[in-house]
Amino acid sequence: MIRVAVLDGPLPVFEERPAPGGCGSEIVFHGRVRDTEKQRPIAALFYEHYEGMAQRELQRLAEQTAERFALLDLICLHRVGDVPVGESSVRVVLRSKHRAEGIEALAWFVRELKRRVPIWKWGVTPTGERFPSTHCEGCAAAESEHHSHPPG
Amino acid sequence: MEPTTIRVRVRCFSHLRYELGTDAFDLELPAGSTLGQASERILERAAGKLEGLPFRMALNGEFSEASATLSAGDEVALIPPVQGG
Repeated sequence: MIRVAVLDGPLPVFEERPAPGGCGSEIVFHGRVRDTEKQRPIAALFYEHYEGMAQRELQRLAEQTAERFALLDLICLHRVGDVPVGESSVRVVLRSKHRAEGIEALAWFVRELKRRVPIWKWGVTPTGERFPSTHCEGCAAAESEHHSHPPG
Repeated sequence: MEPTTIRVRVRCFSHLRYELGTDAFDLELPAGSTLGQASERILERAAGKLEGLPFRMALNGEFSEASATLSAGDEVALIPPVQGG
């Protein structure tokens, strides 16, 4: 089973359910928000996304990952909007015949997710100011002005 | 008679939106224009604001080649390096 979702709000906990008979490994990954971003203390990350395309790219990536590593199941939930420090921004479950391909598949899936799914991070300071996570010339040239501009 | 121009919607994300000062705008192009030609027009319109900022182009929500031909009403997106996870 392949299932992906892009959700605005806390991610649901994966429910325990029987694995397919050939399953010998289940890997659960929760990506969580750290308390710093670009060496600045933050209260949250704001995840911006391109609605529709983010879901489609995530679905395509999940299908490619399942095929490439012969997975039995791959479920991925990605949160968008404000995600407070300590909470999950992404949750993944992979089931495979053996653990080796599952571990390799998780590493590849997350790496590709960060490369091709149109989702972007903004740091949110304790006072609510947002700043872009990515480095850009504007940040280097006019950091305070640039960092004070929130996403729409 | 075929229209001589088409209008497409351009979507901007992340810091590119900040640099351009808008999250979307309409762009008028000669009929038969490609995504690559739209990119050139966008860079001209940006007047240097996007200089040095890498981005990929999407057409109607799919990453597309510069040679893709545009139609009236298409949605073109500027996709800076992504950062999910």
